[in-house]
Amino acid sequence: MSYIDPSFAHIDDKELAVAYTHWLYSDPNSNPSSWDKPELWKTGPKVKFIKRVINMSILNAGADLTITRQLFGGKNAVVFNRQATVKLTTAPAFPNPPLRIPNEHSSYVTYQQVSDDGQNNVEETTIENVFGTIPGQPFTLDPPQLWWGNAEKTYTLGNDFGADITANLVWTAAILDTAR
Amino acid sequence: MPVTSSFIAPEFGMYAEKSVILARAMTKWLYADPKANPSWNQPELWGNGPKVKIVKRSINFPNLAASAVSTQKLSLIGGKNAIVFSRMATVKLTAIPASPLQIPNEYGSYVTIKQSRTDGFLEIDTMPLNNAYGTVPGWPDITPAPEFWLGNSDRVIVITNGWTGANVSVNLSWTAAMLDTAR
Repeated sequence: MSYIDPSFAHIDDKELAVAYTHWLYSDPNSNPSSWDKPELWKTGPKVKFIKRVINMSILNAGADLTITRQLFGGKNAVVFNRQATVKLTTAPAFPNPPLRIPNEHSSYVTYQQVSDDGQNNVEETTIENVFGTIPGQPFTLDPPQLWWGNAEKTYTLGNDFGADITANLVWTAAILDTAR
Repeated sequence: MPVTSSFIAPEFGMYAEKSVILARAMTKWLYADPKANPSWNQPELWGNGPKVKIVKRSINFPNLAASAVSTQKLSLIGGKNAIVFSRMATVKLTAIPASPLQIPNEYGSYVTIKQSRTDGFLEIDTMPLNNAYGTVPGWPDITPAPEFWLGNSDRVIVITNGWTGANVSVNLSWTAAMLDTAR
């Protein structure tokens, strides 16, 4: 069987594990020295899990904010899950009123995601339906998604709450680490 | 010549059910580390040699004032290779408030973390602790597969207190496997 990076070896479907390994190792941007030499992959770069974030602060109710970005610096990535934090931009006056639970405002924030070819990846809906908003419980993508390195996506947030809010959108992904 | 072995440490046996490749890689990561194992290049001795231990390591950022930024360097297992399974964080007011506490880590949205290796590789972009570490007790943040941390690669961790009302203290913890050569 073709080489499977140990970080993908736990995936039951071995063809999928091979595909994920190939997605990263055969990317010239990720693996300039051996992208076309699979016989060297076993002793070459290794897969690392990273977290990448987009931070968005949105004004009062009714405002939308759109950002277009490449998340992984031009490298192919395998995306496993996503999480979000939604909070008041101005922390509430201390000690009253007290904070309650994380992301208590997330029902009032909407999210839409469009890829650069115009495909609607995520139709506009509340952020809770798209991202994990309970700490430690990310929204898991099943199966993990293959993100093309040079593809940008457009992320749009809408604030339907009556105060400024800040949202942090986080993706956990595997990329190739050529440093060690 | 690279060390090769089919030995799987019993502590990693549950991974072998899903993937022998991963279980062997995890075992080799620890046992073939010269800093951790005097018999690192004698795999025929590994079965009778050191044992894997699962430990919790911590780093604390006490008493951060509002907007304060604190940076610490972390060598998780004192220069030895490690396998990291999960991470958790506690964020609390340094001074216990007079008003009733609500839930653990209610300030976790307002404290950010940035984590990188000393060679500059950015592991965790600056983001709220809630999104990077488990902040609900009993629910750690788990990466899709156990992480292989090289022994001589330290981490640089930057914590910023975005809470404007009071000082906070932050405790970060990792559950990791290391090789115990004492017994």
